Amino acid sequence: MSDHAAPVRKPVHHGTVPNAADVSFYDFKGRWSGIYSWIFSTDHKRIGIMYLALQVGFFLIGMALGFLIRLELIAPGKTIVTAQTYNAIFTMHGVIMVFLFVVPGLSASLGNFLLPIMIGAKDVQFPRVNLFSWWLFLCGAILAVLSFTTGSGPPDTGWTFYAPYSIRTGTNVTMAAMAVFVLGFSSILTGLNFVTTVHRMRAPGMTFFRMPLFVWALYSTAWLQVVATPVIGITLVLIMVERAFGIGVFDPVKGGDPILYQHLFWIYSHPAVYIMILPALGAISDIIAVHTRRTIFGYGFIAMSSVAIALFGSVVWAHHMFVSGQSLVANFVFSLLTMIVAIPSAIKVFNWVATLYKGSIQLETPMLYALAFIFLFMIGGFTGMMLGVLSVDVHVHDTYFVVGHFHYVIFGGLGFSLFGALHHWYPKMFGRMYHQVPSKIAWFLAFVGFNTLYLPMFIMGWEGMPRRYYDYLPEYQTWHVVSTVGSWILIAGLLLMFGNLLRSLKTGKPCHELDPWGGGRTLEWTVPSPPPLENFDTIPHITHGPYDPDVPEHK
Amino acid sequence: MLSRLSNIADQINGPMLFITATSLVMLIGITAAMIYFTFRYHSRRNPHPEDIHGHRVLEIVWTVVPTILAFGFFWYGWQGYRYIKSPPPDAIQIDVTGRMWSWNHTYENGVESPELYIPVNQAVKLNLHSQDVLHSYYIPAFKVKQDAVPNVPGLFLWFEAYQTGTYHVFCAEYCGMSHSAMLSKVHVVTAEEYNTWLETEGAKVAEMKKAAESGEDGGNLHILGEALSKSKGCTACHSSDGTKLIGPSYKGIYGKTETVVTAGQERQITVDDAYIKHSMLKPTDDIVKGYQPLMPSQEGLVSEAEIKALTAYIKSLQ
Ligand code: HEC
Ligand SMILES: [Cu+2]
Repeated sequence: MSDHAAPVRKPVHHGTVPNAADVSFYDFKGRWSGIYSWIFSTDHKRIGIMYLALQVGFFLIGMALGFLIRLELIAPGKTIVTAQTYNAIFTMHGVIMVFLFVVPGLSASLGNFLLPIMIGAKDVQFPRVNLFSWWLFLCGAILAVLSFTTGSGPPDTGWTFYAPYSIRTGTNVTMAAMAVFVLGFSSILTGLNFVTTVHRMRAPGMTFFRMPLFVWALYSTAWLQVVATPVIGITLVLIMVERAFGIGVFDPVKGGDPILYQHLFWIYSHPAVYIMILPALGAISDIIAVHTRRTIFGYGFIAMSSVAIALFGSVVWAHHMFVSGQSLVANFVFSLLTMIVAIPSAIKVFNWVATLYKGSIQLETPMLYALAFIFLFMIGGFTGMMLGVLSVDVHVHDTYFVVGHFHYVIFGGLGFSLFGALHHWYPKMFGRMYHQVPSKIAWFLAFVGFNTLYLPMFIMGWEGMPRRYYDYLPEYQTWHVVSTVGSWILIAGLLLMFGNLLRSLKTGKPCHELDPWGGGRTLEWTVPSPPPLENFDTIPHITHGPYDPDVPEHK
Repeated sequence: MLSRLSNIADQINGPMLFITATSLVMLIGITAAMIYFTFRYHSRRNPHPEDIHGHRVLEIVWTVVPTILAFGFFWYGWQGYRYIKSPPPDAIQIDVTGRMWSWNHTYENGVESPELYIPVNQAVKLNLHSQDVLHSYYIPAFKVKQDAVPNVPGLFLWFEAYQTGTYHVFCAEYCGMSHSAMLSKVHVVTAEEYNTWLETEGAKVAEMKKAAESGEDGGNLHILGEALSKSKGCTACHSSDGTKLIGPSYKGIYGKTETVVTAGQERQITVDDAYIKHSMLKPTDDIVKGYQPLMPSQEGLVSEAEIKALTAYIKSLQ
């Protein structure tokens, strides 16, 4: 798959040998200084870090809300809050986690930072649009926070805003929908930027099949962002219009169709799952390649499976609606398509595991996260198959089984991948190494806590515990208690991890090596840590696949 | 776990068992391989990695095998689902209405009950309706579930219970504040018990009708109204003691002058018989100030006689 044809493998990244005159992009003096040097910067690296800061901030808020949900559920009946407050809390938890953390995900933060470097470019195609996207994201985030804190109370619809309840409730749904609408534009613009960048900005010699797998994943994602996001924009505008002017689009009392809402909502929100998981899958490929210090197994298959997931992932949305009353034909088709998406995902897992074979594995923290990711992602995938099977779904739909499943995929998938990627590219981004020991303890706590928190949900779900329940029957309590204890372990791990990463910004060992892991072969490991303003002095010329060594050790 | 409490559960346990077993084998196998490789090819034991770019036969194998499995799972599930969607024509038909936040079951002879009574070993078909927002009728023990969507006819679920006993009913589709309190029960009884229950309840219905039709307020019309207020689910939102729930309390409203919002305009009204009737049938026309338009319309759900009884009840709460 990779290019064996190049007869002489000369060291090609000659253009990027750091020279003393290069200052890192942090030290570069531009037009602005202080905070303005960030919020008005068009440098993709600064923008990436600004996204990261916002995302981590919102993740912590979302996590605090998740903590409250689990605490309320430790016993049946009222524990700490009222039913209405509980409903608002899980809605805010979902809105924050999905729209402010997961959808921007790895793509807006690490993707922004790494994409241009990985393809040998100085920046993205439209740097100013990139900055504008970040500002839109900030505006959307502010609107979201306002919708929680002002008006007639935080929305209580769940993050899905299902009609007709979302039309009738008196809570602040209109503003929350507006927030998601604005955030959608940020996402669309980032997608457009990335698609264009990949098409137009690749370094000479970097053919599509010489791109790192993270880039392939970002590229597939970017297409999804451009194609799918407008649908949710329009859908939420319709909700706002219906709430404001009483035009019957989704509320059956006014002649609307609530099932139509579900279709429109999931046409976006299912691909959104892939928008967030694809970059995560891509990052895992890159982390594994570096920490096994060998070329990736089945490069072409992994790259093409990303594309396949993006394609098939766009046409499975109605599997969220198997008991909504849609037609049998629809159920047949969507169940079948759902099963098909499992295949490229399985292909990835097999290739990752095969990449471990005959590697020279270093169990650094990023690698630990990657291995944990594969395990959690498999559980997420298998339970996803169960949900995709029509008869089984009738029973477990809208129960804790679903809650467990999507947390395994989204949190175990995107979350663990993002944490691994943060550690993996940490020295590259910040020029320092994180503290090793706490990072490994944090990983262990997070992994154990995660499974204690979410595994019981499969059991509860199979036993019939519905989701979004403030109160429950006493027979479910045992597993709820286990799950809540798990949340404490997980949160301890996450706080330790973020605390450690934050502290290491100041106290971490300086690490200016080009390739601190000793196994990096993609372009970001050929530029200084942290990189200079325009990444490369001279644009490199690419002659071989991304995971092949410059000087071949074996042939 | 894999209890055989209904014919539908049988259709679901099979595929679940099959997929779980296959998944566990794969999960354990792949995880074991992962751990073994990590150990065996740790840089300490294997300082020199080998660049292997891929293996065509392996790729084909691990594409084809999951494909076959995925299609197998799908087909197994589809077979069961077709069965789940094919009720026998002679099933007992019961209408079920969901509303915030209670269920009502209406039998062919007019009996209404907040809890479901059914005979054991007989196919039962529940036709689902909703008065307001989305709900979902879910009996975990029987592994049946179906959404109830307002204004969408033809939604149903059916099953045959295998064992007598009492089982839980949940609302599985989020429907607002008291979603988790939207519970009910299924009583699976023998055929004789079922028939006796249906007859006694039917007699009660006839009695009430007579009481409501005979004369103004025979002194106990409001007692009927109180029972109706419970069985029609009004008590989920209206209290009788002045407590403000989702809707205003019934206490003291009769004869009161209050501010309502009609088509965006505030106006004053006096609560009388006509207003109460209108509030039940077209609740969104006049919204009491300070409340949300959350009251489901009772049009077609309450008879004239029942409106009279309910009004008498509200009147009695001074
Ligand atoms: C989901 C909650 C809910 C249920 C169930 C409900 N209501 Fe209401 N009801 C409301 C709300 C909210 C209002 C105030 C807003 C309005 O006027 O529509 C209201 C208003 C009313 C009023 C007018 C009260 C006033 O002060 O003017 C009457 C009468 C009434 N309901 C009767 C009933 C009856 C009878 C039932 C049962 C058949 C019922 N409601 C069921 C929520 C509910
Ligand atoms: Cu409900």
